[in-house]
Amino acid sequence: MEHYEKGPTLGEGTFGRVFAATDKRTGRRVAIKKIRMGKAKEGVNVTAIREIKFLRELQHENVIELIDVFPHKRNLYLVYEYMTSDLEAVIKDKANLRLRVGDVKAYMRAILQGLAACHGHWIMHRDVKPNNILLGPSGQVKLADFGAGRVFGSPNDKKFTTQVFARWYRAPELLFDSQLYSSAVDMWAVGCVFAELMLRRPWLPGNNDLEQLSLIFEALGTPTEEQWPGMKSLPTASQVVFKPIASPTAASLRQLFRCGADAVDLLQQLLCFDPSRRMSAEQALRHEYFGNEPAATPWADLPRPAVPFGEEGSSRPQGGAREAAEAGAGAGNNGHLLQGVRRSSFPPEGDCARDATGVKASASEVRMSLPAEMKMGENERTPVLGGNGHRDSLEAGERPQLGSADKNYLRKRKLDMDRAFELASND
Amino acid sequence: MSRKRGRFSFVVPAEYVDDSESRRDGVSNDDEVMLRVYGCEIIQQAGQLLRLPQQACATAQVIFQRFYIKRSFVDFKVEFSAMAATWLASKLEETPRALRWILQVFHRVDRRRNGLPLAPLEYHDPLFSNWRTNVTVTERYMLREFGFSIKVEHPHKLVLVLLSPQVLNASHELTQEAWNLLNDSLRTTACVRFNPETVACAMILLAARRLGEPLPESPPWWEMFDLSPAQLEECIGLVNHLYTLPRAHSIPVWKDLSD
Repeated sequence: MEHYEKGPTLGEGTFGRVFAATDKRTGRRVAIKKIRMGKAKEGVNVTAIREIKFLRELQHENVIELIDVFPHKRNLYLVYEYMTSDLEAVIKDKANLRLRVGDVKAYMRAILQGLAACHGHWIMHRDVKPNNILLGPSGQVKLADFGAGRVFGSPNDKKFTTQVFARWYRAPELLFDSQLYSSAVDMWAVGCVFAELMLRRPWLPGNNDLEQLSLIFEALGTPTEEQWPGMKSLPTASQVVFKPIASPTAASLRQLFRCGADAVDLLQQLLCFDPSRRMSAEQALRHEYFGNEPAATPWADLPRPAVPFGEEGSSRPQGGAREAAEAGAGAGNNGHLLQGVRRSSFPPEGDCARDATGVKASASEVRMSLPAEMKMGENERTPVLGGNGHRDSLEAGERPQLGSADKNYLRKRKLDMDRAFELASND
Repeated sequence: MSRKRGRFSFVVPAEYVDDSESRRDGVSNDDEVMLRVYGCEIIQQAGQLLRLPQQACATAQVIFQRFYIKRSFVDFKVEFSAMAATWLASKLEETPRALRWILQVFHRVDRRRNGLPLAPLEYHDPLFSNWRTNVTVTERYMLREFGFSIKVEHPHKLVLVLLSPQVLNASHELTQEAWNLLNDSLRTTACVRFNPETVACAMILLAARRLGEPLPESPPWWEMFDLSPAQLEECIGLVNHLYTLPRAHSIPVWKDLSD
């Protein structure tokens, strides 16, 4: 700790505070995440161990660098390279930033390269979303926040939790409670981010898992047995019957995203329902989209968001936001952020969400027949966004966060041992 | 722009073992070997009671061995380090176990080895909180000593590849023998003295010798890893020495400074 000069707080992460700092030895700007490990019950946080293990293993230009880790008093400090902004800020800053085709291409290539490196090490990221994709001071694009990451592909794999990813980026097999999945879940999220980059708003912003599924099917068509063999065998897939909707044509998607045929083809392959046929990161990088004109923009020319993070109408602590803005002005760069920064809570309770659903309900409806155990009335309609419907009212500050359900999952795994043991340690 | 730090490895020269921290604190070589074997044995037993996969047990044993390269048996009690290593490994290998289970199981193993009547460790027992504090502190020391580089690679998969029909085409018995030797080798300092390739090749050689099964000699198959025969023999010697030792038991060399 004595080597670093503490700067302003950048935000509250899910498991600790993030603040800017300067390395006194080198003068390098860094960001430090402070993790409490005080509780004797848990010891060093599993999330922290995962993050350290993965980031030490992954050395890639599109993955955030973990410079140092050190314990100090009862806390653990993770030192990262300093990143100025994230992709969410770019997407939201519609007033000042125009994303050209080449820019989107550059972002996508960086994300895919980062993920290809993870998957090459048999690591799933499991929390791909725009605000986990950070932008460096000279425009580098890096993946961050591996706290939800997981090694996959071992024959001993038992069950993974399905409570990963923010809901809007969750793949359909996760929404159907599949407990064995692979890197394909990351690729679905990349597809969603791709769509979001082109639309400049979240493409499939569901308020609950059921609505999320119907949004997906409304936008991409209800998967047939042919498109996704084995879907019916997933745990909760047979509990809901979705109205069959035809897959959208490439032309209608081109109209929606106002993009070329190559982009639509890539998107469709990333958002393929069948996880085994979904494109891998390696395959995606070889897609003709990246070879076609216009070429991807070089890092240095990528647009930078102009809106500082403190002024987005977020729920960040006031003091922290002001400090961050001041520090940003001093450094001549407004963007401030670090991974895991919580800006808002989910689900949104504001009126705007309700308005949006009201509008949608009249535009397009999906009727679902639900079995009794779903505890929804037979006639209850889940309003659904039409394929081309705009949802501008549901814009700022309502991004879902990764829940802490992972922990619950761990807690559930009890050991069966001697009865006497169980009684003795019921604390 | 890409950074290369290379694969993390924890391999130390012989001086680190011969002139270890424990030796400087007055622990004899025989005692240290005994304590290392003892620590790894209780990790293995507890790991089985905890139903940890063998990979987690192996990781725990490697962590344990590495820790005592850096620290002394006088400062850190062998049982606490074994518990902390098991706990940390269970988290690293994505098969987490609650600390209270780990304490329970080690308590049981301890009583069983000493022929005491088996009784659960009561939650309100002062021993419980004492152990819990010590283990959490030890875990933190472990992470600090390793500089938070906590990746462990095992030689097991290499052995399976080398003995597969595509490479050496060894018999099932030889594969099983090499596998057993590998697990036993974790009780020695082989995993901190040599890289996984060396340990893998040495254990295959030893297994072939014990079973009297010939392996192709020319060209020597271990040359694909750029290993010297001297290293292999040294590694084999370490493991052979293990089988000459009497049954491992704890030796009270720990000095509790908290009293």
